[in-house]
Amino acid sequence: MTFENMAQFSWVYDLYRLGQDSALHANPDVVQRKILEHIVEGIGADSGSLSLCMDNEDELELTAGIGIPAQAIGKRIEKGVGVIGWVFEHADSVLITDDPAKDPRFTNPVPRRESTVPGSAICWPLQQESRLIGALCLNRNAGRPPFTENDRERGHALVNMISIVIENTRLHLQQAARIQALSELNKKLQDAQNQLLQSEKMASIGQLAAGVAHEINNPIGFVLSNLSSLEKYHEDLFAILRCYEQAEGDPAKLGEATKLKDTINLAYLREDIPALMNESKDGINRVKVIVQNLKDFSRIDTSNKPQWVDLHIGIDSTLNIVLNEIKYKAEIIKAYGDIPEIECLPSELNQVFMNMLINAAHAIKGYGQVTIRTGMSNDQVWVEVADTGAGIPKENLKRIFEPFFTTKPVGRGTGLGLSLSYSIVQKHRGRIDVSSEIGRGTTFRVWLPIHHTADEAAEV
Amino acid sequence: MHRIMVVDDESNILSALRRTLGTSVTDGHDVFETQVELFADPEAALRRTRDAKFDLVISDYRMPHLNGVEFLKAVRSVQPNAVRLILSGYADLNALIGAINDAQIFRFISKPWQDFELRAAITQALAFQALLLENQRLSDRVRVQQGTLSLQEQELRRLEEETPGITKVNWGPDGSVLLDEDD
Repeated sequence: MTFENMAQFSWVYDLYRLGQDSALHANPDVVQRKILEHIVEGIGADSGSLSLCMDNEDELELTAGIGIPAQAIGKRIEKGVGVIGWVFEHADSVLITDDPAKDPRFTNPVPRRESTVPGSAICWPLQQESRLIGALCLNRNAGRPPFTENDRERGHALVNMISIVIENTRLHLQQAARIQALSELNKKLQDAQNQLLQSEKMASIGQLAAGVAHEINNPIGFVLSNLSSLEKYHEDLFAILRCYEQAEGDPAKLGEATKLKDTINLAYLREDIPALMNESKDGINRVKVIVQNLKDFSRIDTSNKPQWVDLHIGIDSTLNIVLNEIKYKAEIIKAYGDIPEIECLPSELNQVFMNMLINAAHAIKGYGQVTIRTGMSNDQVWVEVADTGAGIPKENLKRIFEPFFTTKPVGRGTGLGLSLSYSIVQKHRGRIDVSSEIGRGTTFRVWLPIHHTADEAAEV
Repeated sequence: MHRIMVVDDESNILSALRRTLGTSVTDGHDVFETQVELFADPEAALRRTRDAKFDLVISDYRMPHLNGVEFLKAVRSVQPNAVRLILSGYADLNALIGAINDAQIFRFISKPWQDFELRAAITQALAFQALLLENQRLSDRVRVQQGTLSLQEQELRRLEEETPGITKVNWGPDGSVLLDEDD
């Protein structure tokens, strides 16, 4: 094969294909070696090397080599050092037909054993729009017809093409690295968003602490008190029992037992103990439910996999947590429609519901109504929370979904509730409608598709 | 007989308190006979205070329509002699400030409470209330007698003006009367 090959279309096409190789992203070294192999073979050289410019543009790195010592690959070459360094510095090609060590132009060339010195060599700079990107060296062994000045000249055309291919691979690599960096950044953003979501959740639980504490302390209070009453009751009961036991042996004492029965008021105990037990059971169950609700609510959906759930269950358990925030400010009216289960991230949606419920309660001055409605139309379900509160002024209405926008006093709101609700609903490919009238109240309606469609943008 | 009013929107709390305070309250020493009235609605309770006298009013803090501080403040204006207590699961700082400054409560007991703690608070409150009433009775009696007392006081003041120190006697440790060196 000779230089004539380079003119052949199929050879050029193969070279181009190598530059487009998708394996490039995974392993650029292999592809660069393949390109070099293709060139060495196509031009009829015996060995060759490809050096590429480092980022600092003062050094080259020998990135691929054919028929040269393996340890040379990966070596750094400074500008002006050796044959390649010279080519790089002068941005000019050079034809060598003698041992370069004897050539005064090249400082500090690698000394070689006589047998490995090539018979002839050409080294071209690789340029891309007058910017040096590397150097290509081709060698022919001694004994074969040496390269000629003509080869060097004609090689320039070839080298331009190779430059493009090399630059192409470099751009591909750069692009891959950028995509990598961007997706890492994207992941970081997603993590931050999740963290924000979680901390908002925790902050809202903190704000709810008063209500939740009340909701838990009330039942614990009466259960505890009932237990000590029961303790007293059972002392009395055993006192009566003891009296009757004595009467068994001595019937004369029966009168005493009957008298004790009256002082202790056994009839009252008989009536009150079952009531006491039922109330206490009810109390303990309430604590159990609220703790379970809190656990469900604060849970992080680690799987992030949508599940089929009945939204009414989520709304009810969320309502249970915020009940204390609402029940002293508003009557809660539930008007649930007939909705199917939907595919969603339930714990995230619960946060949206909680946010709407708390906002509704906060909007009400004095005593009002909070109405929760659900329904569906076409393939979407909706959940609506309407309050009879103060309403949102027009100028604020367009800002309510902005992060950190709040009209609540410091410490009452983070300003993240609605903004996070918005992003949660968007993640579900749903939307939030708001209508508000000053002095009449506000209605938030969340639309959610029944089937979850993965958010590609978020998953890349 | 001490009349106690209990107000809480949670009926189970009312039942539990009825069991604890039922017919008598004791802290181990004193026994107070009690008569307890229970109210789930603070507004109804407030209406009741206009008809019947209470010695002690125990109220929850978080209740619909009327919170504990507002309720007890209203009770205070109707029956200033009724001692007021709050029994609540939670109250923020503002609620506590209101309870102390406006409702002027005697104790704040948090839920869940210990029965002995509640009983101790109630017996103390009732003893305090008895003291308060006795104080008022005695003051009234003193005012009746004030005529005689003020005549005597007038004479003492006149003597003191003429000869400073004459109404005060310095007793020595051995019972002798000490005279100032100046005299």
